[in-house]
Amino acid sequence: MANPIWKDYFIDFGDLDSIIYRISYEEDGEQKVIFVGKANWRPGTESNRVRINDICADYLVTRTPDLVAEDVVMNTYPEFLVEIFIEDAGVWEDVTTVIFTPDWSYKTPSPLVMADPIRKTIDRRQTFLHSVFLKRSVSYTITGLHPITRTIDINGSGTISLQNFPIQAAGISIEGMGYRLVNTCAEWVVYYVNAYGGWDSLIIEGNVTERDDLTRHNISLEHDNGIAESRGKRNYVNELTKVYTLHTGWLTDDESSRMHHLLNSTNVYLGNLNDGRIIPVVLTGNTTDYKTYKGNGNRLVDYTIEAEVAQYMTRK
Amino acid sequence: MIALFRRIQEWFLHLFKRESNHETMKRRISLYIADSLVELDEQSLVLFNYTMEDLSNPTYVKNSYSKQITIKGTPNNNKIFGEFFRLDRTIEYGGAAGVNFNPMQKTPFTIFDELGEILESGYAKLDNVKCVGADVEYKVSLYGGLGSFLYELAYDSNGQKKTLASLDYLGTDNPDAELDFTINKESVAAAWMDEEDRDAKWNIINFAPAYNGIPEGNFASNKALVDPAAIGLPSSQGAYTTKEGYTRINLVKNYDEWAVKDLRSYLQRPIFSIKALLNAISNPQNNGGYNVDFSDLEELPQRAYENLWMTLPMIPSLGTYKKETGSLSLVRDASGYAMPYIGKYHIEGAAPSGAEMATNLNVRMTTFVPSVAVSELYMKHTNGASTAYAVYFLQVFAYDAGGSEIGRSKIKCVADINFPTISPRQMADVLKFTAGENDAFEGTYTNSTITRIAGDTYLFNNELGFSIDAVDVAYYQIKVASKTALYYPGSKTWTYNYVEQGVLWTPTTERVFPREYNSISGITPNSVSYTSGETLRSGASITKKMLLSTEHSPADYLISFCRVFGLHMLYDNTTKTISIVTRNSLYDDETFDLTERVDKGKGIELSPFLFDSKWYDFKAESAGGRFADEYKSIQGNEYGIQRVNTGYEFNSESKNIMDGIVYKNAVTILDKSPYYTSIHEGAAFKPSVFVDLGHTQTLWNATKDETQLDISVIQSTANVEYLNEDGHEGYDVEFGRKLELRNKDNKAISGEGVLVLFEGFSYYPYFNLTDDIPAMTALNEGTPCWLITPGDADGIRIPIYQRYTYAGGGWSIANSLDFGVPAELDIPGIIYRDGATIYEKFWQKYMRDRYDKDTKVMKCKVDFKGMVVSQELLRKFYYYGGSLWVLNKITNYSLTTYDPVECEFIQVQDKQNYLNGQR
Repeated sequence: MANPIWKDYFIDFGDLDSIIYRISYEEDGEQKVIFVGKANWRPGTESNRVRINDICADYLVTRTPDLVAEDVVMNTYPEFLVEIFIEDAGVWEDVTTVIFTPDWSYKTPSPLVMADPIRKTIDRRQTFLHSVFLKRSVSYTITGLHPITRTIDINGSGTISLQNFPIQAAGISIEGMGYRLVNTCAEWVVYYVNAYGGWDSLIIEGNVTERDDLTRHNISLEHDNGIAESRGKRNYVNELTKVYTLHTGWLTDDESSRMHHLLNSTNVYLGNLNDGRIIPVVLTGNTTDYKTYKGNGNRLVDYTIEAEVAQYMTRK
Repeated sequence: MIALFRRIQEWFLHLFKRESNHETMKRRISLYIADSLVELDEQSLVLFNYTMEDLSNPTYVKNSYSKQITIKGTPNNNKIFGEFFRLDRTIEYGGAAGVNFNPMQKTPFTIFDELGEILESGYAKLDNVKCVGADVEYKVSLYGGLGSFLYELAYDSNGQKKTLASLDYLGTDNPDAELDFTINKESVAAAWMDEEDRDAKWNIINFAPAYNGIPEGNFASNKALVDPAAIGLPSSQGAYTTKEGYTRINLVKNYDEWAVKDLRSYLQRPIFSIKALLNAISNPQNNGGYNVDFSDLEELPQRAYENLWMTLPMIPSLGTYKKETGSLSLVRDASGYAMPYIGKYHIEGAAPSGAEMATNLNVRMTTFVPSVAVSELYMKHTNGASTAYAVYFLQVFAYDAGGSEIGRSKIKCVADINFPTISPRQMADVLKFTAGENDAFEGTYTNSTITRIAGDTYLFNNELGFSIDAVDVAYYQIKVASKTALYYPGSKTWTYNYVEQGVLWTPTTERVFPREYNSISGITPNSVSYTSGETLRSGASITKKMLLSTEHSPADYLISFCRVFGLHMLYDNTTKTISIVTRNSLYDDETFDLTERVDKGKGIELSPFLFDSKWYDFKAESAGGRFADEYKSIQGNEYGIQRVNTGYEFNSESKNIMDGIVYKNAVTILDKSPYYTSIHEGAAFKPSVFVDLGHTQTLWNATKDETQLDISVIQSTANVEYLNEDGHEGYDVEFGRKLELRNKDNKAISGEGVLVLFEGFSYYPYFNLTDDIPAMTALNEGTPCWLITPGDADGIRIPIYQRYTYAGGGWSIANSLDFGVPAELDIPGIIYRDGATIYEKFWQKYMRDRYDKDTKVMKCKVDFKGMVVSQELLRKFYYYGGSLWVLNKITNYSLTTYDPVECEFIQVQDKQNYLNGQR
């Protein structure tokens, strides 16, 4: 049974006082040690315990799939081995093994479902993404007049990306979840890692604006005032920060309740549905409002998201 | 209202954001720590500092370094530092990065630019880690490669300070023994051969004849042995005659080696080649893997590279001079011992023969019980009316190389009761324990706990510390013996069961005694050290470690060498090469125009080139000596000092800018005495010391009784030839000028650390190179003394090592190791040429340029766009405001932004003073 990474997970060393322990996982056939610590018995407690979920969190890797082609990428959610050092014998002794899921939902129990899309609608031009946790294979059905069912072997945890759906297709059914294929006028789609560590997407149906923030660097120099092109002040470099402001369009209360998956995400890409560009961005918002119809004066809710392009630009 | 407040708030936030973005990272640099790419935050400014020299002391060696940088605790960075922020984190093995990251060790770093070129490399130091909530920040300082290189030359991997003995000089299979030799006249003669003919080790170490004064310690410098027939003395008188072919001369006073023409092998001053040091330093195995380029020194004047040597301590002082601790260790042998011995240790590291080793050995005893049942062991066992106690006796023995016992510790007694000890002799009788007459117990240790540690092996609670002193130890063994004592509480009596028995074990009804014992090392570190009370003499084994276990490290010697001769160390990041260059090579004759690079808007600060003292002195610490002491008392300054008047009129203080260098100063003289003669009376050679009245001659009869015969003073008709054939009668051989390492009482001074130059060979007629001989044991009560049987008329050839090289047929000093010209010399008829001193050759032009009243210091911000900013920029000339400048310092150069850089420039008066200032 896998444990959500946000939930404190303790290893109990019993009555062993001041014991050296280490955590490792298997990588390329070898056991890779990620941490060595010394556990001391906390006064007033019944046994010597250490919390390891925080240590292991950095080693759960959700890889980015190809966002413009069909792809399957395997993620790394390893089994962690905890050992203690037997000083007299000079050997390491196994204590336990632990599996964590990259689940930052702070919900109990962990759903072990890695997809939780905000709208469940897919633009025909975009890439469809679906992530799974520890599966041997995944079946999906392209629904419509002539449904097609396919199976992808995955043998572990990973993300499937699908493209180029038949024109008559109406949707995708995968692991009991149905997506609707739609034709929109939208220019942008957002791909993001949700709170469960899986990939989802959201079509941006509202307006999108784009701007550059500039930082100018100037220098004052000696100059000859008899020569027109001789400059006393020179703007020798400008730094550019490109910012997109995205308006989601109207959302229901149910859809709004899942906006935290996007707004809290640390891994977001903008996809241009017209030219296929994929732009890594960083969201700059510092709050996530859980908006509702009633709380918004009996009006549908929408969100404004500000995203900075995650690459540097200068002009010299 | 709320909306207005929010707008104002947003405006402030926006304003703040703009300000904080002013210096954002836009250049793409890649920082690798221990070959792992660091994720640098956009606010992580990597600011580097480069300095050519400390303006208050131009001789200091400067390393590039970064301002402390902040590295964010991303998962990737946390892995590099081994999750150092976790409080319970420990280091399993110690290493460069990851779980083995050790903040106590230097961790290598490299910074690449966008083009993949290396901007900087060296080592990183984790200063501290700050955790605020989930945000972790690592504060790290980066140091250029030069510091790492010097550190490698100063400390070994265990943090122990390196000495000259730590370096591999010859690349042999056994570097620890590569320079070992036996001190005798054959070794010295072999060392004094021409360089191309002698063994390679004599190019590393050699011997410099010097005026060392009268030998001290175990040497009778007022006695001499001689074949009487060789100097015209009677071989017998009545029943008295010579013994072993010698008569003993009882000299009227103490004489030195030059007076008696007897150069004893072990009284020749050992010296060490600076060229060998530099070659060893350039060996990557000695310096942590750096390439070192000394090729520029081949152009160095004064042959400072090729022919420079340094004096070492005299061999007789080595025994008492050294007390080794760090270089010696006790190593436990895995096998080679059997019951009743339970541990064997040998000494790792060289010690002089005759050295008394003081050893502290700490062990815990173990015992093995054949596996019969799961049981516990006890130190006592009650059975009926009596209680049986197991009692152990342990002792450490020392053995020589032949396996003979040469020392023993006190006996330790272990029991679970304050056992009434019997005497060691009683114990020896009963337990076959070879206790000596003077053996003594060292108390009883109660031990009520024995712990099973693995299988059926049990560990005793006590850690036992043994102290033992013995001479010429090859190895140690720990011996154990056991007995059982029965105590009857009813009668309160003891009986001793004198059989070899041991610890009891239960729950069997019958007592079974384990018979297999062993020991493990204790927690307290073992130690071994020695002092050698005997002075070393002919035939002594001299090891590399004895001779070169210097107080200072190879790095100290290298830095001092560079400081003395005005040399600079350059570090090439890309090839990991350290180049030692002269100032002539340091500066490139290339001038950059700063007119369109200096940011006038940021301000320009000008200041005069001010000193902090009126006088800058160039001087090394004096090794002392008769003339050096006289010179100082008369002249008020040290011999060879160079004083520079800086023109600073705000105080009258002096500052020695060579303060801290490890090399010492000494005086070269030509000695004068009545004994620099060759005297013949008729055909008979006469020792020159016979010009003094009062010597006697000893002969012996068959019953070893002595008779003393007076020796007549040399007749006025004798033929006296002076050794000095160049008109300075009474002086030493004219071109045999040597270091004076004796005081006004003609007693030796320590005299090590003095730089000398090789200056050819001189011949000394009738002199001998000798060793102690067995006859000294019989004829002079075992005390070494002079041998004055004359040598060949052609004499012996000795090398001349002193502080000058000469021109003009040997009559003028062309190159000197003095910083300045002394006011007087103790060498007759010699001329000190202009431009011969270290100051004149290496410093004068440069210092004058700096001291010029027009020289200014300019600080300003410079835009180095299009130029690679590194140490290399400090080697160029710059034009600004109609003046020529050199760049002395780049402060907080950002490797990640394009901002103008704060620079410090020194005005140049004449470029040639930099480009050709060293002659």
